[in-house]
Amino acid sequence: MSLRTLVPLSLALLIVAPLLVVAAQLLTPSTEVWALLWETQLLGMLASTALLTAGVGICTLLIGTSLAWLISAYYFPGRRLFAWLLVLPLAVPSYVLGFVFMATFDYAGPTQTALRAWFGPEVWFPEIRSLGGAIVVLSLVWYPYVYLLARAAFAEQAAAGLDTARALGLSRREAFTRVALPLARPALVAGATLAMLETLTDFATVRFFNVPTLSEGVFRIWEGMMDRAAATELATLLLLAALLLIVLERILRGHARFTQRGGTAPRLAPTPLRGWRAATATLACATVFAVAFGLPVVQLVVWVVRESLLPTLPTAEGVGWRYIRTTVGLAGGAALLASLVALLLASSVRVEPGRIGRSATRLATLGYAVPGAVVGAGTLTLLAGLDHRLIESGVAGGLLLTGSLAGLLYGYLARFLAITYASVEASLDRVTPQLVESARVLGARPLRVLCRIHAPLVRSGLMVGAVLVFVDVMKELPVTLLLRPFGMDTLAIWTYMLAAESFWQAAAIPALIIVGAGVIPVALVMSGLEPRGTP
Amino acid sequence: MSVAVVLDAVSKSYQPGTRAVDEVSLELARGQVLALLGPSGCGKTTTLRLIAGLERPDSGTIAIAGRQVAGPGRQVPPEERGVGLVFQDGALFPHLTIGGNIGFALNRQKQAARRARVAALLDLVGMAGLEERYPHQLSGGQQQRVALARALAPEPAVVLLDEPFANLDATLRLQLREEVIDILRRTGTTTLLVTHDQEEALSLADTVAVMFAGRIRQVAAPAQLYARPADPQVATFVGQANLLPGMACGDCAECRLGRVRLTAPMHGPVQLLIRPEALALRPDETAPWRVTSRRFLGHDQIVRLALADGTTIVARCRPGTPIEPGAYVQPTLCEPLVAYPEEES
Repeated sequence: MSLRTLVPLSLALLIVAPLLVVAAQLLTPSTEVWALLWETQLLGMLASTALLTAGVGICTLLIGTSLAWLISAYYFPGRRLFAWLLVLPLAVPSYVLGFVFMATFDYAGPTQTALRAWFGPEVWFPEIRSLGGAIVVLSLVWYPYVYLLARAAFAEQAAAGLDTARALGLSRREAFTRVALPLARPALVAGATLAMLETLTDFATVRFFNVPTLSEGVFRIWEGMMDRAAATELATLLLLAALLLIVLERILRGHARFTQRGGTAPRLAPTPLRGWRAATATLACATVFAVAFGLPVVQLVVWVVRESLLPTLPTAEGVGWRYIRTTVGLAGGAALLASLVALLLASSVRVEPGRIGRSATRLATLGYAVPGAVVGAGTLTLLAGLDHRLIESGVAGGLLLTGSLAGLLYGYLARFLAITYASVEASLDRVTPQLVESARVLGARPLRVLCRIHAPLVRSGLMVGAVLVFVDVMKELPVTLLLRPFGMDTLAIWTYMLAAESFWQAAAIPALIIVGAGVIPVALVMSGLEPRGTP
Repeated sequence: MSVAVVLDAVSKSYQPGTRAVDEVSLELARGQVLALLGPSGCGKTTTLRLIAGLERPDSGTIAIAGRQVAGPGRQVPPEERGVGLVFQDGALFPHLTIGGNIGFALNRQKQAARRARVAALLDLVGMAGLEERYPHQLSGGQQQRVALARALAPEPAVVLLDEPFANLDATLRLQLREEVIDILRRTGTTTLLVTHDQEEALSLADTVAVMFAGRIRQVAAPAQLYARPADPQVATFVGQANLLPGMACGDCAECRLGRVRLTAPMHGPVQLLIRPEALALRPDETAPWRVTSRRFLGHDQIVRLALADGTTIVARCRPGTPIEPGAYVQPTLCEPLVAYPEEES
């Protein structure tokens, strides 16, 4: 095996090691731990995880598909604006929308207070701290995945098929259910799967809503007993659940493939809606946007203003800036690291194409599909094991890796490498072999090819990937919570801690910063999605 | 006449057992335009890539401008070979301006000298003043001109053209290929043109090398190649051809058209090559050849003739010739024929 295949392979193994550690636990289950887990409502955790994930899957499909169809197939007031406004909820982390919902709709919140004032104390209101509440919140955050993929599918696939269906005498509604939906199925399934994988990762929102899921369980055990073994054992179930979802996606997708036509293929031509139909369409889009994005942002802004005028929480001078510096430093470091590794991996696979390289990269980019708690627990077990060895062999006097900055960055890398890798791959596709060969024939040595051809052509894609990782790390909770060095808090952790203690007004400051940063990648995604003229 | 490129018994295989390039030997004289003609997959592009240094030969040697660049234990990288290369799609660097593309290889020259050279090259390809444009702002034909200028910039010992006109529409293709060859001849550039289009090869090149299944079958001047193809396969690839069985006896042969003269003495069963335009048609109600179809093309017409036993031949005659399907004609030959010994099968 040459050095060129060894580099990507060893890199990929390093990245995937945390997952392997968790997977290995499957083969060596410890009976005491499972007996203990059984007593701590293992069945309840499994049931609520299944219900929550299925609920979010169904709701995101309903919301995402219907909004995408409205936007793709009809003209109504505000259509162009809503087309991209409806993606913005993706910028709000689930735990932020979660605590805003709690504050707004809980018994003591303004909604129920107002209702009681009008209709008396006996007025009925659904219990917000419930499985249903969690499903609503998570669906409002993650439906844009389905929406985006469905819109792309409707725009790219349905046009020709729909025209044929209409020509064959189907009504517009029949054409939708019999042609457009089946054609878009792979995209819809993929979108819902993404949403459900995110649901598996979430532990903060479900904790606010008293839904004890597997992710939440991993953290409860970790925090309550500091029992890494038990937490990791539970994480194996989480890993299995994620793998199950991925396998299900493959099965449901069937033999269908995403096919993309060139830019010249006829696009779906929307028909105008009039009167109450148009009003209903606008209202539907406006409602979803208002609840999923308008409400949290307005509420956060109100809280931030109030908090700056009348602080509810005495914070030491400059603490906020320290959190911001830590967050930006961590996110920047992770983005840089993920970009470099992705570039190295992608280019080495291209220099020496082969089965080993391809499987290595597929392994290395698995982390993004796996819940953060799994990556976190796996990394932690791995680092602790290494530390143990180092102490035994006398190299180190104490814990060197566990709870270190390097360990945290390693965890981020294992989780988010897939993002930068996909970005680099997409832009490397533009660098055809002929471009490189032309440069070589024109006298450029490999280094000059890298600097003058590869680097400039990959730069923009790499920047996008780096920004996406930066924002994801900013929002990240599970990996950070498990791996951070003692006392190192990010904006996300600050938000989560304050919200968990119901200091909502104070939590609004870091939450608003995170939401603001989250808008950036959404805007990036949208600028890439909207059709543009030839450059 | 000195030699610019020499290939000596060069072989290359991608999969064991099948040779993409099989013992190819080829010489390009300085200033010559040589077309490497063959169907797709015959190994002509691989040959070009071997010369450019983008592939390493399994055996054989390659020399460019008197220097061995590939051979046993020797593989000069492409950047040190001094060749120019133009791909089918131009492969312009999308992030560089036209000036940046053409000047890419001139990075060791002073700025002023480089700028002057770029301007001169743009002028040469008829695109003066477009230095600041980007590739995507140009038409396909313009992109190919820039690709040519970029390849010519470092004054290479040989320019390799890999199906450079294949992506263009018919009218533009005809116009551009005349221009490109004109530029290459004016600058005295040694050129290897890889193409699957026989008309392109015959009309542009000084010499045509025909390649099938990794082997060179014939190297000849266009007129010679058309009139005296080395074997029936080459004959049908470089132009329309009727192959009629016959029996040769010295300078003449007997066949369905009667007694015909041969270009070279032969004996025994042969296949006779008859180009459609070599046949003259005379209406004759008693003749055995019946006109089965007529395709009018403007500058001439293609007439298909058949015998009662099913033998068919194709003739090409002047547009004015009054011939209708169903009529009987007698084809006559106005020149001696090339004969190939009948293969034992």
